[in-house]
Amino acid sequence: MVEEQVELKVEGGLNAEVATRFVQIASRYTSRITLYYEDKEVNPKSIMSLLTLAIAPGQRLTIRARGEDEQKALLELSRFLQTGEGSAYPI
Amino acid sequence: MQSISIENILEHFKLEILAGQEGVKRKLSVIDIKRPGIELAGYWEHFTPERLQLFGRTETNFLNNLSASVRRERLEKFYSYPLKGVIITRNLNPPDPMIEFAERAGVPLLRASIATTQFLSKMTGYLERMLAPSQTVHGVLVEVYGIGVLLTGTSGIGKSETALELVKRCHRLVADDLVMIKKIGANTLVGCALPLNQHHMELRGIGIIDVKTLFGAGAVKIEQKIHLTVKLQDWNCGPGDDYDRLGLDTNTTSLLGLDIPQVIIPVRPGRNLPTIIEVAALNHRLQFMGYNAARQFVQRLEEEIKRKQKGLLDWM
Repeated sequence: MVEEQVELKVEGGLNAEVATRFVQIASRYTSRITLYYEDKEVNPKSIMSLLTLAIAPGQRLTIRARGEDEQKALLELSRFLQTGEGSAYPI
Repeated sequence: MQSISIENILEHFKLEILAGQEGVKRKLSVIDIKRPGIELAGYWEHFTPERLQLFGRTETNFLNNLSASVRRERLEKFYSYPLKGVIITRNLNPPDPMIEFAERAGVPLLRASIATTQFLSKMTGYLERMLAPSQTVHGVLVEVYGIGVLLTGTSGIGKSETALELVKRCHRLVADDLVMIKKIGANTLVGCALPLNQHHMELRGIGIIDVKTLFGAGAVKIEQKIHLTVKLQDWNCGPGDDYDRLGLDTNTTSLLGLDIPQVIIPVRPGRNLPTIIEVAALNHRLQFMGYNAARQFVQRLEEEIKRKQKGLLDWM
């Protein structure tokens, strides 16, 4: 299991567009991924729970991944939250 | 190019034929109707003989008020064009020598009993329907909560089964497998079945069934305006998920040059497609009435993010 605390830097925060792309990226990995924000814990492969968080730029959250591709998943997801970069197709 | 014979018009409107019987097979292929007032006054510059010619009280009285020689000359000129058919309304008598010319030219001269403008609008509606551009598509057309839903997708994905379940839930089947689509006016698409497959459906393992006989007259509909297309797609079809997760974007597909809203539904065993299609139809209705759930949700979300962002800045 790996985990990392990141600060959300994407412009506009975790809005509909960003969340949609986040789900697309997360869904490509077989690892079990969990996001922790304030006292909430959500599965980022489900768009509805991700949107409910309404995270603003500058806020911190924790990504945890457990599974075969946990390292790659964590790397790509944390990079996405900080830069907005991430491809819709596997790297 | 679609066309319709004068004979069809004669039968449909139950008109009386006064002359030119031999010309009833003439084909009409334009929707517009001509009231040749200005031509009868002597101006023939932009005359359109390919249109159906309509004589009302104005045209007939005008001709009757001309001197016999001028009237003959105008009518002779009129009948020198390749006309398709001439209709007189209000049960009026054709000015002399119209019958003679019609007979000689072999152009049907018909008579209707109703008033000209009334007849004109009925005729326009009829011609628009009959001469509309059309196309057949592979799919199933159903009416769900009053919304015409065209189900598309590859063979064997479950369009017919879905339609059958919708019929059992008191929605209506219009056409299965092959849908004839007509473009009526500038922005309306209407679908119906071909005469042979009307109300019939093929179910794998059972064969051809007659939906009207099995489920009753309330389970079928002859034609339906198409409001929405639902494309059923294999779950693992594309890389990633190319379908809309939030329903924010309005996806459309082109049918006969018109953009029709399209919803792409990924199909997987265990998904209840009829329910999903019912919801898609209801949601479409709601959007049509001006309420977009996705947009409302996103607006609330963005307000919340802004509120938090402001809180962060204030704190610093």
